[in-house]
Amino acid sequence: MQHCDPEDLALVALGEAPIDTDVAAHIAACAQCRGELESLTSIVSVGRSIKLDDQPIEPPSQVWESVQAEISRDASEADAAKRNDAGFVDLQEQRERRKNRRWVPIAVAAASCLVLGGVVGGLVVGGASIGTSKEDVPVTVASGTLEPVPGGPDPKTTGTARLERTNGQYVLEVDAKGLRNPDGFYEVWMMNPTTSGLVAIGTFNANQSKATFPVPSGLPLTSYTSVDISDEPFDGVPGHSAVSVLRGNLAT
Amino acid sequence: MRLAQQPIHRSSATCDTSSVSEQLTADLGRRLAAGDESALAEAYQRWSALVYTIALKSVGNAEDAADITQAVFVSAWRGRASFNPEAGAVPSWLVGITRRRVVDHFRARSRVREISVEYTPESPDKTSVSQRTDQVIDRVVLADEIAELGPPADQIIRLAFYSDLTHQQISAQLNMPLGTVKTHIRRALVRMRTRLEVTHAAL
Repeated sequence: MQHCDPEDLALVALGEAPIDTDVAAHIAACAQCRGELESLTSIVSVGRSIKLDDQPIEPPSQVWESVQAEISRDASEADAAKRNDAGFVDLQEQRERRKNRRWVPIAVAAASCLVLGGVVGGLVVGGASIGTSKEDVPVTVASGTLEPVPGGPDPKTTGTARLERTNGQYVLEVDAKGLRNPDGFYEVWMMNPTTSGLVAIGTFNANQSKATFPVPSGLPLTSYTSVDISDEPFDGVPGHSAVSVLRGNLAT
Repeated sequence: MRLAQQPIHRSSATCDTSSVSEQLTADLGRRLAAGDESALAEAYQRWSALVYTIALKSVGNAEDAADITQAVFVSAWRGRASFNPEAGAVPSWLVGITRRRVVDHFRARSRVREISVEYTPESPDKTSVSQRTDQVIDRVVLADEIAELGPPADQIIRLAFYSDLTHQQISAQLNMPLGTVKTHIRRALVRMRTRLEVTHAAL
Protein backbone atom coordinates (compact mmCIF):
# COMPACT_ATOMS: atom_id res chain seq x y z
CA MET A 1 0.00 0.00 0.00
CA GLN A 2 1.16 3.49 -0.78
CA HIS A 3 2.04 5.78 2.10
CA CYS A 4 0.42 9.02 3.11
CA ASP A 5 1.44 12.26 1.49
CA PRO A 6 4.05 13.69 3.90
CA GLU A 7 2.42 17.10 3.61
CA ASP A 8 -0.91 15.66 4.72
CA LEU A 9 0.79 14.05 7.69
CA ALA A 10 2.28 17.41 8.65
CA LEU A 11 -1.23 18.90 8.70
CA VAL A 12 -2.53 16.06 10.85
CA ALA A 13 0.39 16.67 13.23
CA LEU A 14 -0.83 20.26 13.56
CA GLY A 15 -4.23 18.97 14.60
CA GLU A 16 -6.09 19.29 11.33
CA ALA A 17 -8.52 16.50 10.49
CA PRO A 18 -7.17 13.94 8.00
CA ILE A 19 -8.08 14.73 4.38
CA ASP A 20 -10.36 11.71 4.24
CA THR A 21 -11.10 8.46 6.00
CA ASP A 22 -8.63 6.50 3.83
CA VAL A 23 -5.77 8.60 5.18
CA ALA A 24 -6.96 8.05 8.75
CA ALA A 25 -7.27 4.32 8.12
CA HIS A 26 -3.81 4.16 6.57
CA ILE A 27 -2.23 5.97 9.53
CA ALA A 28 -3.88 3.53 11.89
CA ALA A 29 -2.57 0.58 9.92
CA CYS A 30 0.92 1.73 8.89
CA ALA A 31 3.69 1.86 11.48
CA GLN A 32 5.95 3.91 9.22
CA CYS A 33 3.44 6.70 8.65
CA ARG A 34 2.41 6.59 12.29
CA GLY A 35 6.04 6.97 13.36
CA GLU A 36 6.43 9.94 11.04
CA LEU A 37 3.23 11.48 12.40
CA GLU A 38 4.32 10.97 16.00
CA SER A 39 7.69 12.59 15.46
CA LEU A 40 6.08 15.60 13.75
CA THR A 41 3.42 15.80 16.47
CA SER A 42 6.10 15.99 19.15
CA ILE A 43 7.77 18.85 17.25
CA VAL A 44 4.42 20.67 17.10
CA SER A 45 3.91 20.12 20.81
CA VAL A 46 7.35 21.52 21.73
CA GLY A 47 6.80 24.37 19.25
CA ARG A 48 3.48 25.29 20.84
CA SER A 49 5.04 25.22 24.32
CA ILE A 50 7.48 28.00 23.37
CA LYS A 51 6.89 31.02 25.55
CA LEU A 52 7.51 34.60 24.65
CA ASP A 53 10.66 34.75 26.79
CA ASP A 54 12.11 31.66 25.11
CA GLN A 55 13.04 33.88 22.17
CA PRO A 56 16.82 34.21 22.18
CA ILE A 57 17.99 37.53 23.59
CA GLU A 58 21.49 38.99 23.46
CA PRO A 59 23.78 38.70 26.51
CA PRO A 60 25.22 41.90 28.04
CA SER A 61 27.95 43.35 25.83
CA GLN A 62 30.72 42.93 28.42
CA VAL A 63 30.45 39.14 28.10
CA TRP A 64 32.24 39.18 24.75
CA GLU A 65 34.90 41.49 26.17
CA SER A 66 35.52 39.01 28.98
CA VAL A 67 35.75 36.13 26.49
CA GLN A 68 38.29 38.07 24.44
CA ALA A 69 40.30 38.96 27.53
CA GLU A 70 40.53 35.32 28.61
CA ILE A 71 41.48 34.19 25.14
CA SER A 72 44.18 36.79 24.63
CA ARG A 73 45.65 35.77 27.97
CA ASP A 74 45.84 32.19 26.63
CA ALA A 75 47.57 33.47 23.51
CA SER A 76 50.21 35.43 25.38
CA GLU A 77 50.93 32.40 27.57
CA ALA A 78 51.32 30.28 24.44
CA ASP A 79 53.75 32.84 23.00
CA ALA A 80 55.82 32.70 26.15
CA ALA A 81 55.87 28.92 25.86
CA LYS A 82 57.06 29.15 22.25
CA ARG A 83 59.94 31.40 23.19
CA ASN A 84 61.05 28.87 25.75
CA ASP A 85 60.90 26.03 23.27
CA ALA A 86 63.65 27.76 21.32
CA GLY A 87 66.20 27.37 24.04
CA PHE A 88 65.51 26.06 27.48
CA VAL A 89 62.65 24.92 29.63
CA ASP A 90 61.68 27.44 32.21
CA LEU A 91 59.91 25.61 35.01
CA GLN A 92 58.36 28.76 36.35
CA GLU A 93 56.95 29.52 32.92
CA GLN A 94 55.55 26.02 32.68
CA ARG A 95 53.79 26.47 35.93
CA GLU A 96 52.37 29.79 34.76
CA ARG A 97 51.19 28.19 31.58
CA ARG A 98 49.21 25.46 33.19
CA LYS A 99 47.66 27.74 35.74
CA ASN A 100 44.50 28.54 33.93
CA ARG A 101 44.40 25.57 31.67
CA ARG A 102 41.03 24.02 31.27
CA TRP A 103 40.68 20.73 32.97
CA VAL A 104 39.57 18.58 30.11
CA PRO A 105 40.26 14.99 31.18
CA ILE A 106 38.66 15.27 34.54
CA ALA A 107 35.69 17.39 33.59
CA VAL A 108 33.42 14.36 33.62
CA ALA A 109 34.66 13.19 36.98
CA ALA A 110 34.26 16.69 38.36
CA ALA A 111 30.70 16.86 37.16
CA SER A 112 29.81 13.49 38.59
CA CYS A 113 31.10 13.98 42.10
CA LEU A 114 29.41 17.09 43.35
CA VAL A 115 32.00 19.72 42.72
CA LEU A 116 31.83 21.93 45.72
CA GLY A 117 30.53 25.31 44.92
CA GLY A 118 31.83 28.73 45.54
CA VAL A 119 30.83 30.69 48.55
CA VAL A 120 31.54 33.77 46.57
CA GLY A 121 29.76 36.31 48.67
CA GLY A 122 31.29 34.92 51.82
CA LEU A 123 34.83 35.25 50.54
CA VAL A 124 34.22 38.77 49.38
CA VAL A 125 32.82 39.71 52.74
CA GLY A 126 35.73 37.93 54.41
CA GLY A 127 38.14 40.02 52.40
CA ALA A 128 36.40 43.30 52.93
CA SER A 129 35.71 42.92 56.62
CA ILE A 130 39.40 43.07 57.46
CA GLY A 131 39.67 46.27 55.54
CA THR A 132 42.98 48.02 55.10
CA SER A 133 44.29 47.67 58.63
CA LYS A 134 47.75 46.15 58.80
CA GLU A 135 47.80 42.61 60.09
CA ASP A 136 50.81 40.81 61.37
CA VAL A 137 48.87 37.80 62.57
CA PRO A 138 47.47 35.40 59.99
CA VAL A 139 43.72 35.72 59.55
CA THR A 140 41.75 32.70 58.45
CA VAL A 141 39.67 33.88 55.52
CA ALA A 142 38.02 30.60 54.61
CA SER A 143 38.35 26.94 55.34
CA GLY A 144 36.83 23.63 54.42
CA THR A 145 36.94 19.89 54.78
CA LEU A 146 38.52 17.80 52.04
CA GLU A 147 36.64 14.64 51.30
CA PRO A 148 37.70 11.56 49.34
CA VAL A 149 36.60 11.86 45.73
CA PRO A 150 34.09 9.09 45.03
CA GLY A 151 35.78 6.46 42.93
CA GLY A 152 39.17 7.93 43.77
CA PRO A 153 42.24 5.86 44.61
CA ASP A 154 42.19 6.45 48.34
CA PRO A 155 38.71 6.45 49.87
CA LYS A 156 40.00 6.54 53.44
CA THR A 157 41.90 9.82 53.33
CA THR A 158 40.67 12.91 55.09
CA GLY A 159 41.85 16.45 55.15
CA THR A 160 41.23 20.11 55.70
CA ALA A 161 42.23 23.25 53.84
CA ARG A 162 42.52 26.75 55.23
CA LEU A 163 43.02 29.99 53.36
CA GLU A 164 44.93 32.49 55.48
CA ARG A 165 45.97 36.04 54.88
CA THR A 166 48.80 38.02 56.37
CA ASN A 167 49.35 41.60 55.21
CA GLY A 168 47.43 40.98 52.04
CA GLN A 169 49.32 37.80 51.14
CA TYR A 170 47.30 34.62 50.96
CA VAL A 171 48.52 31.16 51.84
CA LEU A 172 46.72 27.86 51.62
CA GLU A 173 47.34 25.47 54.46
CA VAL A 174 46.55 21.86 53.65
CA ASP A 175 46.34 19.10 56.21
CA ALA A 176 45.80 15.59 54.88
CA LYS A 177 46.05 12.18 56.46
CA GLY A 178 46.23 8.71 54.97
CA LEU A 179 47.74 9.57 51.60
CA ARG A 180 49.73 6.73 50.10
CA ASN A 181 51.33 7.01 46.71
CA PRO A 182 54.66 5.17 46.61
CA ASP A 183 55.16 5.68 42.87
CA GLY A 184 54.43 9.35 42.61
CA PHE A 185 53.46 12.46 44.50
CA TYR A 186 50.47 14.69 45.15
CA GLU A 187 49.71 18.06 43.67
CA VAL A 188 47.49 20.66 45.30
CA TRP A 189 45.21 22.71 43.04
CA MET A 190 42.79 25.54 43.47
CA MET A 191 39.80 25.10 41.26
CA ASN A 192 37.04 27.21 39.83
CA PRO A 193 33.96 24.98 40.16
CA THR A 194 32.07 26.86 37.49
CA THR A 195 34.65 26.58 34.73
CA SER A 196 36.67 23.64 36.10
CA GLY A 197 39.69 25.92 35.72
CA LEU A 198 42.71 24.81 37.75
CA VAL A 199 45.68 26.56 39.26
CA ALA A 200 48.57 24.46 40.54
CA ILE A 201 49.52 25.53 44.05
CA GLY A 202 52.29 23.09 44.92
CA THR A 203 53.32 19.51 45.54
CA PHE A 204 52.44 17.52 48.59
CA ASN A 205 54.34 14.47 49.77
CA ALA A 206 52.64 11.35 51.04
CA ASN A 207 54.73 11.28 54.24
CA GLN A 208 53.88 14.82 55.32
CA SER A 209 50.59 15.64 56.89
CA LYS A 210 50.59 19.41 56.66
CA ALA A 211 51.94 21.92 54.18
CA THR A 212 51.50 25.61 53.48
CA PHE A 213 51.53 27.07 49.98
CA PRO A 214 51.65 30.68 48.87
CA VAL A 215 48.61 31.50 46.73
CA PRO A 216 49.60 33.34 43.52
CA SER A 217 48.70 36.97 44.03
CA GLY A 218 45.97 38.11 41.71
CA LEU A 219 44.22 34.73 41.69
CA PRO A 220 40.49 35.50 41.75
CA LEU A 221 39.67 33.84 45.05
CA THR A 222 36.00 34.53 44.66
CA SER A 223 35.99 32.10 41.72
CA TYR A 224 38.67 29.60 42.75
CA THR A 225 36.81 28.34 45.75
CA SER A 226 37.57 24.63 45.64
CA VAL A 227 40.70 22.73 46.62
CA ASP A 228 41.70 19.54 44.86
CA ILE A 229 44.56 17.13 45.58
CA SER A 230 45.57 14.92 42.69
CA ASP A 231 47.60 11.75 42.51
CA GLU A 232 50.47 12.43 40.10
CA PRO A 233 52.89 9.95 38.54
CA PHE A 234 56.49 10.99 37.78
CA ASP A 235 55.79 11.15 34.08
CA GLY A 236 57.06 14.64 33.38
CA VAL A 237 53.61 15.79 32.31
CA PRO A 238 52.87 19.04 34.16
CA GLY A 239 49.06 18.99 33.90
CA HIS A 240 46.47 17.41 36.15
CA SER A 241 46.60 13.60 36.01
CA ALA A 242 42.80 13.43 36.10
CA VAL A 243 43.04 11.31 39.25
CA SER A 244 41.73 13.30 42.20
CA VAL A 245 42.09 11.98 45.72
CA LEU A 246 40.62 14.68 47.92
CA ARG A 247 38.46 17.63 47.20
CA GLY A 248 36.52 20.25 49.11
CA ASN A 249 35.43 23.83 49.02
CA LEU A 250 36.42 26.85 51.04
CA ALA A 251 33.78 28.66 53.00
CA THR A 252 33.95 31.55 55.40
CA MET B 1 -7.24 9.77 -1.40
CA ARG B 2 -3.98 11.44 -2.30
CA LEU B 3 -0.98 9.30 -1.70
CA ALA B 4 2.71 9.87 -2.07
CA GLN B 5 4.45 8.07 -4.89
CA GLN B 6 7.53 7.48 -2.78
CA PRO B 7 7.74 5.97 0.67
CA ILE B 8 8.94 8.32 3.36
CA HIS B 9 12.63 8.32 3.99
CA ARG B 10 14.26 10.34 6.70
CA SER B 11 17.22 11.01 4.42
CA SER B 12 15.09 12.55 1.72
CA ALA B 13 13.38 14.64 4.36
CA THR B 14 16.63 16.04 5.71
CA CYS B 15 17.62 17.15 2.20
CA ASP B 16 15.05 19.91 2.60
CA THR B 17 17.24 21.63 5.11
CA SER B 18 20.46 21.88 3.14
CA SER B 19 20.93 25.53 2.46
CA VAL B 20 23.44 28.25 2.03
CA SER B 21 23.28 29.02 5.74
CA GLU B 22 24.16 25.41 6.55
CA GLN B 23 27.18 25.54 4.31
CA LEU B 24 28.27 28.78 5.94
CA THR B 25 27.89 27.15 9.34
CA ALA B 26 29.96 24.15 8.26
CA ASP B 27 32.63 26.50 6.95
CA LEU B 28 32.58 28.41 10.22
CA GLY B 29 33.10 25.13 12.10
CA ARG B 30 36.13 24.23 10.01
CA ARG B 31 37.66 27.66 10.56
CA LEU B 32 37.01 27.45 14.28
CA ALA B 33 38.59 24.00 14.51
CA ALA B 34 41.59 25.36 12.62
CA GLY B 35 42.06 28.09 15.24
CA ASP B 36 40.70 31.07 13.31
CA GLU B 37 39.78 33.59 16.00
CA SER B 38 37.44 35.51 13.70
CA ALA B 39 35.34 32.33 13.47
CA LEU B 40 34.81 32.47 17.22
CA ALA B 41 33.71 36.09 16.94
CA GLU B 42 31.20 35.10 14.25
CA ALA B 43 29.99 32.15 16.30
CA TYR B 44 29.53 34.49 19.25
CA GLN B 45 27.64 37.01 17.16
CA ARG B 46 25.37 34.34 15.79
CA TRP B 47 24.77 32.06 18.79
CA SER B 48 25.57 33.94 22.00
CA ALA B 49 21.87 34.82 22.28
CA LEU B 50 20.99 31.13 22.02
CA VAL B 51 23.55 30.17 24.69
CA TYR B 52 22.66 33.08 26.97
CA THR B 53 18.92 32.50 26.76
CA ILE B 54 19.23 28.77 27.49
CA ALA B 55 21.39 29.64 30.52
CA LEU B 56 19.08 32.45 31.63
CA LYS B 57 15.93 30.35 31.37
CA SER B 58 17.64 27.47 33.16
CA VAL B 59 19.38 29.21 36.07
CA GLY B 60 16.97 32.13 36.38
CA ASN B 61 19.35 35.02 36.90
CA ALA B 62 21.15 37.24 34.46
CA GLU B 63 24.49 37.40 36.24
CA ASP B 64 24.97 33.61 36.36
CA ALA B 65 23.70 33.33 32.80
CA ALA B 66 26.33 35.85 31.66
CA ASP B 67 29.06 33.90 33.51
CA ILE B 68 27.93 30.66 31.91
CA THR B 69 27.86 32.28 28.46
CA GLN B 70 31.42 33.52 28.93
CA ALA B 71 32.56 30.08 30.12
CA VAL B 72 30.88 28.36 27.16
CA PHE B 73 32.68 30.45 24.53
CA VAL B 74 36.02 30.26 26.33
CA SER B 75 35.58 26.48 26.57
CA ALA B 76 34.63 26.31 22.92
CA TRP B 77 37.80 28.15 21.99
CA ARG B 78 40.07 26.12 24.23
CA GLY B 79 38.41 22.89 23.16
CA ARG B 80 38.25 23.76 19.48
CA ALA B 81 40.61 20.91 18.64
CA SER B 82 38.01 18.46 19.93
CA PHE B 83 35.30 19.93 17.71
CA ASN B 84 34.59 17.58 14.85
CA PRO B 85 32.96 19.49 11.99
CA GLU B 86 31.72 16.21 10.49
CA ALA B 87 29.92 15.12 13.66
CA GLY B 88 27.60 18.09 14.06
CA ALA B 89 27.24 21.78 13.58
CA VAL B 90 28.70 24.51 15.77
CA PRO B 91 25.39 25.58 17.35
CA SER B 92 24.62 22.05 18.58
CA TRP B 93 28.12 21.77 19.96
CA LEU B 94 27.70 25.08 21.80
CA VAL B 95 24.33 24.02 23.19
CA GLY B 96 25.94 20.79 24.45
CA ILE B 97 28.61 22.79 26.29
CA THR B 98 25.93 25.11 27.67
CA ARG B 99 23.97 22.18 29.04
CA ARG B 100 26.99 20.83 30.90
CA ARG B 101 27.71 24.25 32.40
CA VAL B 102 24.11 24.65 33.54
CA VAL B 103 24.06 21.23 35.18
CA ASP B 104 27.40 21.97 36.89
CA HIS B 105 25.98 25.26 38.11
CA PHE B 106 23.06 23.50 39.81
CA ARG B 107 25.30 20.86 41.36
CA ALA B 108 27.61 23.49 42.81
CA ARG B 109 24.71 25.53 44.11
CA SER B 110 22.87 22.66 45.74
CA ARG B 111 26.08 21.78 47.55
CA VAL B 112 26.50 25.33 48.86
CA ARG B 113 22.96 25.32 50.13
CA GLU B 114 23.54 22.00 51.81
CA ILE B 115 26.53 23.32 53.73
CA SER B 116 25.06 26.69 54.62
CA VAL B 117 21.96 25.32 56.32
CA GLU B 118 23.93 22.61 58.07
CA TYR B 119 21.67 19.72 57.34
CA THR B 120 21.60 17.28 54.51
CA PRO B 121 18.55 17.63 52.36
CA GLU B 122 17.71 15.04 49.77
CA SER B 123 20.51 14.62 47.30
CA PRO B 124 20.17 17.06 44.42
CA ASP B 125 17.80 15.61 41.92
CA LYS B 126 20.03 15.25 38.91
CA THR B 127 17.27 13.95 36.73
CA SER B 128 14.94 16.83 37.27
CA VAL B 129 17.67 19.41 36.66
CA SER B 130 18.70 17.67 33.45
CA GLN B 131 15.14 17.24 32.31
CA ARG B 132 14.23 20.83 32.99
CA THR B 133 17.36 21.98 31.19
CA ASP B 134 16.54 19.75 28.23
CA GLN B 135 13.04 21.21 27.99
CA VAL B 136 14.45 24.73 28.04
CA ILE B 137 16.94 23.74 25.35
CA ASP B 138 14.20 22.29 23.13
CA ARG B 139 12.07 25.41 23.39
CA VAL B 140 14.84 27.97 22.90
CA VAL B 141 16.45 26.00 20.05
CA LEU B 142 13.10 25.67 18.25
CA ALA B 143 12.37 29.37 18.78
CA ASP B 144 15.74 30.05 17.18
CA GLU B 145 15.00 27.68 14.31
CA ILE B 146 11.60 29.27 13.63
CA ALA B 147 13.28 32.66 13.40
CA GLU B 148 15.85 31.09 11.08
CA LEU B 149 13.14 29.82 8.72
CA GLY B 150 12.73 33.28 7.31
CA PRO B 151 9.71 34.56 5.40
CA PRO B 152 7.21 33.34 4.61
CA ALA B 153 7.75 30.01 6.42
CA ASP B 154 8.28 31.59 9.84
CA GLN B 155 5.02 33.48 9.54
CA ILE B 156 3.14 30.40 8.32
CA ILE B 157 4.42 28.33 11.23
CA ARG B 158 3.51 31.04 13.75
CA LEU B 159 -0.01 31.23 12.34
CA ALA B 160 -0.32 27.43 12.50
CA PHE B 161 1.21 27.12 15.97
CA TYR B 162 -0.03 30.13 17.88
CA SER B 163 -3.09 31.36 16.00
CA ASP B 164 -4.31 27.80 15.43
CA LEU B 165 -5.22 28.55 11.83
CA THR B 166 -5.78 25.69 9.41
CA HIS B 167 -3.77 25.63 6.20
CA GLN B 168 -6.85 26.86 4.32
CA GLN B 169 -7.16 29.85 6.66
CA ILE B 170 -3.45 30.61 6.34
CA SER B 171 -3.71 30.34 2.58
CA ALA B 172 -6.58 32.82 2.58
CA GLN B 173 -4.92 35.22 5.02
CA LEU B 174 -1.59 35.32 3.16
CA ASN B 175 -3.20 35.08 -0.25
CA MET B 176 -1.01 32.10 -1.06
CA PRO B 177 -1.86 28.86 -2.90
CA LEU B 178 -2.90 25.97 -0.63
CA GLY B 179 -0.17 23.71 -2.00
CA THR B 180 2.53 26.30 -1.22
CA VAL B 181 1.33 26.64 2.37
CA LYS B 182 1.33 22.87 2.82
CA THR B 183 4.82 22.55 1.39
CA HIS B 184 6.13 25.29 3.69
CA ILE B 185 4.52 23.65 6.72
CA ARG B 186 5.99 20.24 5.94
CA ARG B 187 9.48 21.61 5.23
CA ALA B 188 9.47 23.78 8.33
CA LEU B 189 8.44 20.92 10.62
CA VAL B 190 11.10 18.66 9.13
CA ARG B 191 13.75 21.36 9.54
CA MET B 192 12.73 21.83 13.16
CA ARG B 193 12.84 18.09 13.73
CA THR B 194 16.31 17.84 12.20
CA ARG B 195 17.54 20.72 14.32
CA LEU B 196 16.33 19.03 17.50
CA GLU B 197 17.77 15.67 16.45
CA VAL B 198 21.17 17.21 15.78
CA THR B 199 21.00 19.15 19.05
CA HIS B 200 20.13 16.04 21.06
CA ALA B 201 22.93 14.08 19.42
CA ALA B 202 25.42 16.66 20.72
CA LEU B 203 24.13 16.76 24.32
